[in-house]
Amino acid sequence: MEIKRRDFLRLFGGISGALVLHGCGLDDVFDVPASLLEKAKNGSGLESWSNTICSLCPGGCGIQVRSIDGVPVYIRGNRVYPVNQGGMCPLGLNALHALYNPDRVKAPMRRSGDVGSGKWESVSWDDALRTVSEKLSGLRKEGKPHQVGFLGYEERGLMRDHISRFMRAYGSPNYYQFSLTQNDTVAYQLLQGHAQVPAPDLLNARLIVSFGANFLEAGYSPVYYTKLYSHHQERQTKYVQIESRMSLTGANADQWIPVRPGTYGALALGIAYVVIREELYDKEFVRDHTKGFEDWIDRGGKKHAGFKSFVLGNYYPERASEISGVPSATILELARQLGNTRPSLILGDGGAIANTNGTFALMAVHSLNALLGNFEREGGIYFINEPPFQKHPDVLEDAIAKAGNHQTPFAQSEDDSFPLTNFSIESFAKNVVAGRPYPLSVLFIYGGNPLFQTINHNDLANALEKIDLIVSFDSAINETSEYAHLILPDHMFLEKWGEVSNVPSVGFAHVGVQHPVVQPLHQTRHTGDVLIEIARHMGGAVGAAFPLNSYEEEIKFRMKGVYLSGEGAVASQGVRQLWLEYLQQRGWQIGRYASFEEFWDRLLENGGWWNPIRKKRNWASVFRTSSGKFEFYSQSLKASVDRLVDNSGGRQSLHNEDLVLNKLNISARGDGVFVPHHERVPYEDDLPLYLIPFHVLPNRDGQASNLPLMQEMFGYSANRYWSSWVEIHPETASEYDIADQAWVWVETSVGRVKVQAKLSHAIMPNVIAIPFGLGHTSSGRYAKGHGVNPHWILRNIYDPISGKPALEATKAGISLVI
Amino acid sequence: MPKWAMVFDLDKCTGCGACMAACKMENNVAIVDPEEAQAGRALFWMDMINAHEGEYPTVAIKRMPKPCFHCDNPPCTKVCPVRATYLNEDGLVAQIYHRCIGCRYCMAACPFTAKVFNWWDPRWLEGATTCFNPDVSLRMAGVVEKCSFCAHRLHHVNEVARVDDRALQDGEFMPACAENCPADAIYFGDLENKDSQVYKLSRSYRVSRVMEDLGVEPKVYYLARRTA
Repeated sequence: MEIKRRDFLRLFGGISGALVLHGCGLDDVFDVPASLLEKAKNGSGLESWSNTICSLCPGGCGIQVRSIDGVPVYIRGNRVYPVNQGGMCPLGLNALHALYNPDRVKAPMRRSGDVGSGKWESVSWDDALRTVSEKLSGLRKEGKPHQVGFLGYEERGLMRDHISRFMRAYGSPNYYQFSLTQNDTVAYQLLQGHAQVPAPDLLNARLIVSFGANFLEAGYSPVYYTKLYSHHQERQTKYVQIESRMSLTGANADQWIPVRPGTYGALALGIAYVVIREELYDKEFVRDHTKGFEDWIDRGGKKHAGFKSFVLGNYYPERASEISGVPSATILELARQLGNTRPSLILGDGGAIANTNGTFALMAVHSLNALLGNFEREGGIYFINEPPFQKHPDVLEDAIAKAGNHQTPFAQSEDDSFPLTNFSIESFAKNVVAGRPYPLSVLFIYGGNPLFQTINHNDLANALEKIDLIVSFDSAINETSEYAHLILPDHMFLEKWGEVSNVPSVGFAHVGVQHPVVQPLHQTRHTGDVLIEIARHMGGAVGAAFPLNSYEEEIKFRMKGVYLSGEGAVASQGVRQLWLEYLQQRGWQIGRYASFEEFWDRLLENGGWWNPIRKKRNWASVFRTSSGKFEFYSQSLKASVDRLVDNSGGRQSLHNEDLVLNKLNISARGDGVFVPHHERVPYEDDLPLYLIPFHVLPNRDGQASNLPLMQEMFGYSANRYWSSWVEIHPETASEYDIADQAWVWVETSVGRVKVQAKLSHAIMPNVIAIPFGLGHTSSGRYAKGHGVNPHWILRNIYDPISGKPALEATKAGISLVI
Repeated sequence: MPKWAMVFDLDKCTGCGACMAACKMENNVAIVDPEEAQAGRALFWMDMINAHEGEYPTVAIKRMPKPCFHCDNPPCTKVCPVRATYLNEDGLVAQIYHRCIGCRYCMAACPFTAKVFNWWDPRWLEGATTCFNPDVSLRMAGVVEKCSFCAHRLHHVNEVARVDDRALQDGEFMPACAENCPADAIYFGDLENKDSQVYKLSRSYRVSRVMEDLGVEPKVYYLARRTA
C-alpha cells in the first residue's frame, strides 16, 4: 500500500497519542475490550471520520465521529446536516462518555435478589430470549396476549412503527410512550383537528412571543432553534419570553415578562382581548378559516356565544393582570406590538402546559396564532409532511392477535380520569395495581426512566412490583430497571443502525440515518433485532410479520420509498434551501442517483436526507376538524364531554354534567367550557411559595447524570457543580432570612428536600425553582447521591384533559437548615 | 507571522455551554471531584462568566464564554521563573507542561483568570481512557494548563498546507469551540490576513476587549450591541 504524505501525518498524530497513553500508567483502569485498547495503543494511527445522528435527546443532530484506527475519540457537528448545520450541544459533544461508560450493562442479566439489592446474574442471550418468548407464547396460548405491555420513551419514526408492528402481530393494544413531551399536543388536537406539532418559522417572523416555551434549552431540538435564533440580529427579530423563572431562552430574549405559575392562559386571553377590541386581528383569516369566533346559531336554532364575545366579556386586561400578575400596561403594549408587527409568532410549551389547566392554556395561546392568521404563512407556522417511506405490507393478525387487539387498552382508565388521551402514567400505574381491566403480566421498558421522571413515584413503584415479568432494554441500570427481572441491553447509538426522522417542530421533512461507527463494545443487541428474534421464536403469524432479517434491512426497505419518490435530496455541501427551491420551480428533480445503492451510500456518507420544499397545503389538511376550520369552539371537546355525560346518565339532570365537568376540573359552564379559557389551579393556599422544576441543557431528562462532564456542567449557569440549587428572589429570601448559598429545606405537602439557595433577580418573588435531573438513587456511580430530584416532592396531580403531569401545581414552604 | 485571534459575537451567543464541552473533550481536560469543583478547582479552559444585571423585573443575565486571551503582551509569561509559558512564533501563549514547577505565579499574574491548576492527578471517566484525543498530551498533578487555541490543530493544518504547497486558508484552522458553536457566535482566524473574517469583525463598531486599559493586548474580541 502506498502511504501518502498526508496519511503519514495522520499516522504521526496517532503515534504521539499512543505514547501519551503509555506514559501515564493508566492501564489498570481500562474498562473497554482489550482489542480496542491494543488498537489505541499500538495501532497505525489512521484517522477516519464517519457521519451518524446523535440520539441522546429527541433533537436529532447530525454528528461526525473522529476515529483513530476505528476507536472513536471525538465528536463534532455535521456541517451539511440541515437540522444542526454543524452546531452541537454539550450533551451531544459528550456522547463518547456514554459509549465508554463503565456502568453500561454489558450482557443480558437476570435479577437474582430483591429490587434495589443490586444482585444480578448474567445470562446468555439464548436463555434470555427463550425465557421471554416462552412467557409470551404461553400467554398467547392462554388467549391473553393483551396482558403484555410495552412502555417506550421518545422513539419516533421507524422504531415506533417497528414496536407497534410487533405488538399488533402479537395481539396487544398496550404500547405506550412515557416521555417529557407526552400528551403535549392535546390542545392542538382540539383546535386544529390533528395532533401534529406546528413548525414555527422563527427565521422570518419579526416578533416571537413565547409562553413558557424554553426552546433554546428544552425544546424538541435546541440546537436547531439556536441556529435560527442566531440570526435574530441581522433579521431584527424581537423575542419576548413569558415565564415565571428566566430560563436560558428568557435570558436571550429581548424582553422577559414574569408570570405567575398556572396563569399563562389568562394572560394569553388578556392579550386576545386587546387584539380583538382594537381590531388588530387578521379578519380575513378569521372569517375564512376559523369557526366559533363570532356568536353563532347551531342547527337546533340555539344561540351560542362566540370566542370574541366570550373574551371581551371576561378577559379585560385588568382582570388578566390580576390573575397573572403581569401589569395591564404590559399586556396592552405586548398585544399592540403583536397586532401591529407582522409576521408575529406565538409559541406555547413548558410551564404553560405543565399544569392542571395546561390544555386550556395552550388552547388560549394557540388561539392567538389563529387571531394573527399565522397558519401556512411565512413567519408563521407550518405542518411538515412525513418523509415518503415505503410502507410495509399490513400485519396479518391471527385469531388470537385479533381478539387481543380488541381488548380495552390498558391505560384507558375505567373511571374516565383522563378521557381525552390514550395514555397517562397515573391511570397506567393505578390500573396495574388494581388489575383493571385485566392484570398486566409482562412489561417491556424501552428507553426512558419513568420512575425517576414521574411525579407518581410511589404508585408506579407499586405497579412495577405487581408485574410478573419486566423486561428492560436499557443499557444502564437506573431507578426503573432496578425493578426489571431481565435486562436485554440495547446498543449505544454509536454502535447501531437507526433512523431519526422529522423531529417535531423542525421546518422541513428530513431523515437521518444512524449506522454503527464502532463495533459494539459489549454483548449488547439492537432492540429492533431482539423483537424480530422474539417474534420468530414464536413463529406463526407473529414471526411472519417480520419478513426482513434485521432492523438494518428494515431501514433500507423503508428508505427505498424515499429514493423512489424522487423528492428532496441527500444532505450535501453547498446545496442550500434557496437553490433547491430554484431548481424545483424549474422542474428539475433535485435528488438524482443512478441506483438505490448509490443513494444509500451517499446517505450514509453524508448522514441524511431532507426535503426543504414545502408543498402548498390545502386548508382541509391544515385543519382536520369536522368543520375543516380552526375551531375556537372545540366541537371535538364538546363531543367528548357529551359522550361522558351520556355515559353517566344523560343530560336530563344537570347534576350529571356537573359531575363530569368537576371531574375534569372545569369550573366553566355552558359554552365557556369549549372555548379557550382560564381555569384556576387548585393550589394549596396554606403554603406560601410556588415551586417549579426546570430543565437545564446538559441534562434535560435526567438521563445524562452518569456522565461526569455533564454533572460538572450541570449548574454552570449558576456556578454550581454536581449539585442542585433552589433559585429564590432576594425579597422572598429576606423574608425567611435566607442568604445566598445557605442550606434550606424546601417542604411541600409530599415531602422535603435539602438544597442550597441561590438568590436571583431572574425569578418572580414568591416562586422558587429547582432544576430537574439530579437526585438519583441509582443509574450509576457518577449519578448516584448528587443533588435532589424536585419531582419527588411534587404533588401527584395532572391535567385531567391531557393526562400530563402538572409540574407547576405545587406550593411549598422554605426554611433555613439549622 | 500570523496573529491568531478569536471573536465572540455575544449578540448571537446564547450561553449554551457547547464550547465548554467541546473544549473538554478535544483537549483531554480532566474532571475533578465534586467537592473540588465546588471549591473552585474545576478545570475549564473555556469558562462561562455569568452576570446578572439590573433588578427584577428588568433583569438581564449576561453570559460570556472566556478562553485564554493569548495576549500580545502577556503578563503571565513575564513572571514564569522557568519559561514554561511563553509567546510562541504563532502568536499563541504556549505552556510547556514538563517545565512547569507549579508555582502558579502565572495564574496570579493573569488578569483574566484564564489559567487553571492541576491540584490532583488527572481523572476522567473511568475506563474511558481510549477516547483521549491522541494529539493532545495529558497533564500531571502540579502543573498549570490553559486554553491553547487548539494549537495541535494548527500543527496539523500547517503540515497539510505545506505538503500541498499553499498558504493556510481562512477557516482552515478552527478550534473545537468555534467548530461546534450552535449559534455560529465564535469566529477564529488570522488578524494579519486582511481578508479574514476576524480581521473584519475586529474592526466592527460593536467590538470591545476585556480590560483594554491594562495594555496586555488580548487577542480575544467581544462583539455586543451595547456595553454595560
